[in-house]
Amino acid sequence: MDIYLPIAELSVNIFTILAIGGGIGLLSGIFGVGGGFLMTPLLIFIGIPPAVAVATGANQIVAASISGVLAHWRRGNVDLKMGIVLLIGGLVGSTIGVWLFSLLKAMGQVDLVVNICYVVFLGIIGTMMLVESIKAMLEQKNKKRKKSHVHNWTHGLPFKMKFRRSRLYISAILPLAVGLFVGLLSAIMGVGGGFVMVPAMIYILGMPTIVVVGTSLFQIIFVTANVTILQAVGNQSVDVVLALILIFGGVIGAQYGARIGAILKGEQLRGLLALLVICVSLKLLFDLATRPEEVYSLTQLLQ
Amino acid sequence: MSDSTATPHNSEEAPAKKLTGRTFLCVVDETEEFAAALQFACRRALNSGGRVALLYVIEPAEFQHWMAVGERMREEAREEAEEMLNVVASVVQKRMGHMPVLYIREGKLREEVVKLIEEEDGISLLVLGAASGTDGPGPLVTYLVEKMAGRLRVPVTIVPGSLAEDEIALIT
Repeated sequence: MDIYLPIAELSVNIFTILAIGGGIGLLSGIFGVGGGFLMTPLLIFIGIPPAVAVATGANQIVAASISGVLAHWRRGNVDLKMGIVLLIGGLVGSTIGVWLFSLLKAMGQVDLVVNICYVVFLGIIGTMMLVESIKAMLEQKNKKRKKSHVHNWTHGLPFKMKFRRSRLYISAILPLAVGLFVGLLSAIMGVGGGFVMVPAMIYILGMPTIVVVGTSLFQIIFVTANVTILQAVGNQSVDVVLALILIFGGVIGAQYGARIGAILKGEQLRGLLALLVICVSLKLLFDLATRPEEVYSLTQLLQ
Repeated sequence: MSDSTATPHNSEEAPAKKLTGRTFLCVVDETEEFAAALQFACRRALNSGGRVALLYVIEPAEFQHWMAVGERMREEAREEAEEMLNVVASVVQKRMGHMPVLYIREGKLREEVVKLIEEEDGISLLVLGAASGTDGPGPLVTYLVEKMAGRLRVPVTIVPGSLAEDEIALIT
């Protein structure tokens, strides 16, 4: 049963898309919130143009993050002030990102850039995760407690602000910069950026871990929403049919994923995720390096 | 951390089993009704020659993509638990004149409460605070009363969170 995706300009089997939506839901259920950085490549694999995959992926993350942030909000684990500062950076970053995206699109290079970004990022992240897992398996535990709050040059920056929930007194430039970078990522790659933002919030900003996840989700909701709207208005690259099918599949998949995730151990989960991420990046690299039978992407339209 | 003063680590150092008097177990959290439960437990223990035990349950954190982040989370949760227990323990010491028995467990709150009561024979009564708001008495009270009350080894006392200090003093 094929369904025509109006923006992607492509007929795909509805069950394929449902399976991907379900699969992504399953993954994000197993590995926690996120999964945008796996969904976009998967969509590219089935032939959705990267530009559409990115814009539509951001859509799905809005939905996934809202349910996530509610739980944290109720427990008081969202630093609203920090979230807003991150958000301002994120909105600026994602707006610039979408503008860059349009520019690249006009030059006809957007698909290439998205692909390269994914190969680089997934490659780095996958490798780092794998190294972390292997290290942990080898040496079990070396109990070195690192200082959580080290004074360095960042504390000399101006515009200091008090963040009560995070018990921090730091320059607002830092969270703004983190937000900006993640916003850029979000616009160009269609991801929430939690996998970059969470470590950045802990190690660069020095936030207590308990508020990190909730606060990052709070920021992600609005930034990905901004990306979706700007992409839809500026680049006409959000495919509503695709997004709806993905969300539908995702909701169902997440239910089962959460159950599987509860059974598996943390180290196993991480090892699996690392392998998955590396496989996806290798496949993307392979597709980039060996150019296909159809040399021009125009041939897709003429079929 | 505050390892110098009576580390609230696990049960080993707690002489709960040898105690002749009764032990009143309180589950520590940040709610208002906990204060009522604690006061009740302290006064009852004081009046009956028993002692107070405190349990803090660390809920396991959700899965993190980065191992270092996950580890950091566990450490910080543990530190927070110890800090909290230390504060509450010093309150108990002020009221009772001796340190309470301290337990820290990691896991699901309801399961760990039931498990601890099964494991520690010294515990003779569980004192819980019930929230006075419209949202019900709180998840632990609801669970224990609805599902487990008949199967527990010890009686459960539920202290309404709306009781004022002098009212509790009167009852106990």
